[in-house]
Amino acid sequence: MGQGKKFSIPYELFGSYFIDDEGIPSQKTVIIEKGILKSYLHSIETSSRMDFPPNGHGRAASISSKPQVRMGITILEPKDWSLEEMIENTQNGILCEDFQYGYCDPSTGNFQFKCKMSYKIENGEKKELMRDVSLSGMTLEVLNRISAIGKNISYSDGMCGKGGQSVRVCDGGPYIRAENIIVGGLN
Amino acid sequence: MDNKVDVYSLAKYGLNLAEKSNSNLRCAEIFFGKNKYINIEIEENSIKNSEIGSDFGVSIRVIDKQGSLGFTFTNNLEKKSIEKMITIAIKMMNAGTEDLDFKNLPEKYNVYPSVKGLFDSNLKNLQIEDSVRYAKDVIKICNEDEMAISQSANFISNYSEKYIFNTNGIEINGNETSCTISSNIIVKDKIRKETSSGNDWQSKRSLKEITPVKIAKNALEDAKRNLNRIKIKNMKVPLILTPKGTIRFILSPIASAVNGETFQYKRSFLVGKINEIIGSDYLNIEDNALIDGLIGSAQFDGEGVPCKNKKIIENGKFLRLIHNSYTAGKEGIESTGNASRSSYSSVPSIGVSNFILKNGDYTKDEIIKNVKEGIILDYTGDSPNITTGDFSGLILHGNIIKNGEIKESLNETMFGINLLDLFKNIDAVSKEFNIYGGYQAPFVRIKEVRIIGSAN
Repeated sequence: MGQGKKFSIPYELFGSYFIDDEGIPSQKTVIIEKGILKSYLHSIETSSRMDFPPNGHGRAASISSKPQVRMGITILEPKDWSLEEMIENTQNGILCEDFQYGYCDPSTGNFQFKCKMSYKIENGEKKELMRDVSLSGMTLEVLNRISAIGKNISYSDGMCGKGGQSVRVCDGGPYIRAENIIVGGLN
Repeated sequence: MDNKVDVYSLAKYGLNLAEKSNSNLRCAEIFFGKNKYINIEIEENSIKNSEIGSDFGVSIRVIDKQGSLGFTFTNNLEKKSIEKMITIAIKMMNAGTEDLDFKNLPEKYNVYPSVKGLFDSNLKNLQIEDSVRYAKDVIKICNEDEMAISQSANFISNYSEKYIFNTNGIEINGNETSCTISSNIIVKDKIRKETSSGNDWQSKRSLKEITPVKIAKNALEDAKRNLNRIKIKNMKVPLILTPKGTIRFILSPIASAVNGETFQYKRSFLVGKINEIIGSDYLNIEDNALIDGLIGSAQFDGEGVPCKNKKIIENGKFLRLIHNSYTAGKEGIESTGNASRSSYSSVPSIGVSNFILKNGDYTKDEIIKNVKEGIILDYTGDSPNITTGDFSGLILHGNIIKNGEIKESLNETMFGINLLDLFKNIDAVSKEFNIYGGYQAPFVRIKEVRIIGSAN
């Protein structure tokens, strides 16, 4: 159904679609390029209001729900670091392998991220597993503090629950390292 | 209910048919439900979507002598359709696996409690044109404020009827109304170029109790209180929970943890703690379905069992769970009348009625005045882990307290605690309380909490 091959994604992913739910063909939308915000995701309504062409992101769960602007497959492009290099190069940090959930207050940009599997990194070595670690920061500040991006990309499927609707989506990205994140937890 | 449908004769016919169809049947239940609603959505401070909807259907639950369940539902109320649903339900029951934990559906009750104020004819007969007026009230508050830049809000009115019949003699029906208004306002401080949001909501049984202007004003105040954010250093200080904070950290987690099903699956941090002290003397919680006019009130639950008032925690001592007929049967006790059924299309789960943290003797001002340095917490996007009781998360709406006064709001501030430690450290509860849906919550002070700040 999707256009995976066209965008050099190895296979059709969970969030792929041919046209969105307003009849606009799905297409690659570059959101950020070299750190500069390039475009928004749009439905017909939001694109007309902002005087941009629509880009195929008006997606609805079913015939009984109205299309809402949302993502399809969100990808952070890989660079050149291996995970081993990242760990070796880190004096004091946390390796977050999986997360329980995360959210962001859109009015302030303050986000919070609850880790599921996280390990301590000390003097360039991966150490013990830690319980119930929370990470927080201001989105725009943390994006500016990315200091390494991995070379291998992996994908994970999910459902977008915006407005009470459930729509198939997918995320893809490599390991990344961000500096000076606030860490919370029980102890 | 549609006048053309005689639910009583349909139910009687259906139950007879189920009993005749299978000699291995232990019991059967027929549930009719009808909902009628109006929903008005406001986005970017203008009416975005208006919707009128209705939903009308029947579900059939059959259980055999080995506890195997069959469940079907349909929105076609013709006799032939009911016959088909019963045939399919019995097929499912025969194909299912035994469940020896199932004891029985509720037996007949002769007396039901009297609970007033659950139905308002003005809400039942509400027209979309009238509903729009309520929406316009909240839009006006946002329009008239210089700092407010946007608002999303909802007005929802609902009328519902339910009829429950089972082969053990349950035969009960009732109707009720509810109305909910919510507002989320974004404000911008143009000089500091800082934005923030605030929200408030209410849910009531009658139209005359709804106060849209007050809700929008509260959301606006909440948003403004969250401007002027500062980063703080790590500290160990008293924490005051607003009523919304109390729901997040005390009422809602306890409501989940005392749910018979969660408990029996051992997914509750309160497993093994019945009759033990789990909190300070200030922790007194009851689940009371019998208060006139409240959203959580009802005469009977989703299986037709009479509702009650139950003490859940008294002076810090954990007394009992809440049950539907299945989880109660598993324990060998009677259902507590907490079977919850949001629609005819689902089997009953378990839910609280009015879940109340008993208010205390202090005023809100006294509780704050006695804090030299502390935090007041209104909202976090995080929820505690119900299985372990652990919480760690971000304070999204919170302010610092200095010398008994509420000061700046907090930026990038987190805190972590286990709920049992939080309950044991409650050292004051306010006289004032707010009601949000089925929760009644006062201000609560926790003696000492570890706060993680981001200031260097």
